[in-house]
Amino acid sequence: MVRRTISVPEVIDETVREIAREDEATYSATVVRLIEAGTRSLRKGRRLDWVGSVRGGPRDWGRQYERYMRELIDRVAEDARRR
Amino acid sequence: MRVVVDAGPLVSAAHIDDEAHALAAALLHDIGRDLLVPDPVAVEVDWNLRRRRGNAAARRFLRSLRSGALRRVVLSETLFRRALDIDEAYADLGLGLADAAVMAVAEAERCPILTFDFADFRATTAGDGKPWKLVVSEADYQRAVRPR
Repeated sequence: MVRRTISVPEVIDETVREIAREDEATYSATVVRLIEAGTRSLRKGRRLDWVGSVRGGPRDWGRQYERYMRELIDRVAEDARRR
Repeated sequence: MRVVVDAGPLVSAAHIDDEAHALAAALLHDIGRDLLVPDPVAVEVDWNLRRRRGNAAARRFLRSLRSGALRRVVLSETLFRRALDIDEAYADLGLGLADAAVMAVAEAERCPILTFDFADFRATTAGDGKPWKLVVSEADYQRAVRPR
């Protein structure tokens, strides 16, 4: 654990105390839980910029990627043999 | 809830013309950082994207692993051994390291699997003999890709 001293507005302090669960023995435990939940929620909304970035190719590429991968490997090997 | 993913849904998510693109993209968005990507799976996705569509898409995918937007799983010695055991136990299927690693991680984390490779995951079971828990069943997949 790392120990930090932070300042929070009173309204945030009140919110943390309101939201604290009975099983959370310390103020720090509640803050950690809230930061983790907030971080998860922020990251969830972050768009993965590679999603939808590829066009063309077979429509069942995801489902059959192993078959297509094997075909590609065979083609690469065949090209290498011809050279 | 953590979910371990196979290469297929990641390829579908990248490929906008894939029949399961919308399904895969929505699942990735929902699961987000709880999506576990074993390194052998990352290698397969990288290879597929690079060979078919060049380096840019593959690099963007790899950067999302580096940034923590998806969670990498480095195979520990225990996971690696278990993956090899699974691959050997189902030698006829020729699973390979990536699929076997997905199964080993699913066992260790007791988490469901996101895959579109229903045949291999139907033909194998977890260490306790029970079927794998799949995020998307084959019937769900068929419903999702059916033309409207």
